[in-house]
Amino acid sequence: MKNIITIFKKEMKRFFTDRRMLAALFLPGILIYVLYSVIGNVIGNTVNGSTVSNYNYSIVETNNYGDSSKQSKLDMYLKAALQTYEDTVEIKYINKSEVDAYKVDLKADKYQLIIDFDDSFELNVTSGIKSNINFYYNGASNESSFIYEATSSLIESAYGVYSVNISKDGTAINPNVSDKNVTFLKIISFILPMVLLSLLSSTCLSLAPESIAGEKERGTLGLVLIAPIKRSELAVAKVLALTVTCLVSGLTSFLGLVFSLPKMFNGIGNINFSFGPLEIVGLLFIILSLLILLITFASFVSSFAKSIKEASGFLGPLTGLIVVVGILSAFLNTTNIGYAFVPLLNSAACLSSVVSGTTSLAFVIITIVSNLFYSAVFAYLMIRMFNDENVMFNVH
Amino acid sequence: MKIRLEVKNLTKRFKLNSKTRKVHNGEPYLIAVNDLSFNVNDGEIYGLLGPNGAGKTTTLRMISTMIKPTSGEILFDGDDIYKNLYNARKKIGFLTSELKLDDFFTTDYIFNYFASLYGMKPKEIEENKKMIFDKFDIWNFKDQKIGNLSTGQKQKASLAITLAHNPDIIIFDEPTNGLDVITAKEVEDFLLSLKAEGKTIIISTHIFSLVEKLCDRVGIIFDGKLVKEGYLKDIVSKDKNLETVFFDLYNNRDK
Repeated sequence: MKNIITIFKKEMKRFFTDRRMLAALFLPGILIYVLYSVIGNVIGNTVNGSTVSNYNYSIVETNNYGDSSKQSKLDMYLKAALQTYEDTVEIKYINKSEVDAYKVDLKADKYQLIIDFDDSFELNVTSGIKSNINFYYNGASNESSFIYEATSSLIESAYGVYSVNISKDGTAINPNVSDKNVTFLKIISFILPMVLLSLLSSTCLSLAPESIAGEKERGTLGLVLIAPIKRSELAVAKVLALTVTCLVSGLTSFLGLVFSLPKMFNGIGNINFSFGPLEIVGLLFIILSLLILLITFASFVSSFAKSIKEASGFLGPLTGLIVVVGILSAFLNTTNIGYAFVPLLNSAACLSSVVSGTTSLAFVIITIVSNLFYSAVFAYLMIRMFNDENVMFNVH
Repeated sequence: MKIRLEVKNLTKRFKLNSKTRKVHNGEPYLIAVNDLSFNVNDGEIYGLLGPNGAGKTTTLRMISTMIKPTSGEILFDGDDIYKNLYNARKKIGFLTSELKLDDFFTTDYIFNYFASLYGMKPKEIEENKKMIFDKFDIWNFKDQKIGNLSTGQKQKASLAITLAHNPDIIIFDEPTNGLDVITAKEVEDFLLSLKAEGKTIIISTHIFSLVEKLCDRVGIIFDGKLVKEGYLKDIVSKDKNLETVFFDLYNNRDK
């Protein structure tokens, strides 16, 4: 144990007092934070359009949706909800028969939104019967798009999921506004595993060849191999130091993720996203177990290689594989427990499912246990390599 | 005189891979050391002399426990070194140009690190360090990273690390290879001073003058086999210096 601690301390000194190494450790976390924040802003701008808080909006609303007392309740709600825009929003009430005429004004940007309620809308909703609201807005106008997004979300939050017919310039289309969050989460859960896996693996795949194959190449490992220590002690100390170092890097990546994701989701405007404690713990353990797996695998490969270049060559295809796995994971159904046994794919699928809110506890647990099991196998193989003089000294 | 190290019928056979087989006429194995036997007495300098590829380095690697023999025995003070491996390693110091110090660390840190790995206590480490650093005048560069040292300073640092655990037997593979004449002379003087302290030393070299200057006994090795061994004074004569003896043996090796 004393020897393991001695070697471990030396490895840590190597990693944490070298500026280049430090940069390799902490850059992924910083990059994750910056990248995700930027992605959030870009997507937010794309979805919401430009900031238009100084524009004037006019909403025309049909008022023939039944009970007049209900009508006044809805109006009050809309006005209250739109009070953020009280200086700029004007609501005009029209009859259903006037809608077509107002569509012309909508195209001319005289009005920015028409909200056409079904007959007996309130009554239907109160009775649990799905009812339609026809939104008409001018897709070519930023102001019209913005107020449509804001208003439709407000009504949706008041009434829950319901059918909405939307028409841009009077051409009828029928998307469901309630799908917006799902679509967005799909995009994020698609991007996240790929970016996270790539950044995490880049640390592991650069440190392990440097620490093991690099020492072999420079001839510095030989002196340790003839010291009165077990080669398994050397292997364990190396893996421990690499794991701790990569865990630090992983933690910075994790913190980058935790701090940037809410920013990313909130950047979209109407989507309020936050991780619960369970999601945070799940993400943490998935990232940690994934890191241990990556480091033991990279260490095993590095112990086999004669040089950093050769180790990097062996590990190179893994980088490509990680990108493919990251993409594939977005299409996986985590109810199929079988995927939880497939290394890399399981972690990527877990990350994806945690973010999209479709995670399964069993899948997460099996993934973590599988990762640790595969790590133990690679650590064992690495110790075998350390005990093999042909591998360690490249004798012939 | 007490025998410190006994090498008995030592053989090392390497399995060749497909690339190296081509170089060795398709043979599946390379016999690097073939039934080699010799003894090293307490307090003497023993020289293994031979051309490149003769098996000198492989022999020293086996004695230093870096690699295991295919067959044969290595006894240190009568005990098989592989039966009490870690104890044997504590008594052996091995310096070879293949084994290098990590450029990132200072001589002082590396000295403490290896002394600690060899099980020395902090007080012992400090005492030994003072003696060795004094001898090699290392104090003035002890806190500089190895990567910033000159070749001579690096060699001194390597020697210091080899002796960090105060070994009884010291093995040097080509100790003056690549050194300038001044540093080479310092190393030679140092080896003689170690001998004066009663240390047992084995060196491998292909430099005749080095053997003549330093060694009490010499073993001449060709193709993994010991072809001549004895006290230097018994091998050389007025008519034949070591170089002549060596080439006589070399030219007659297949006859």
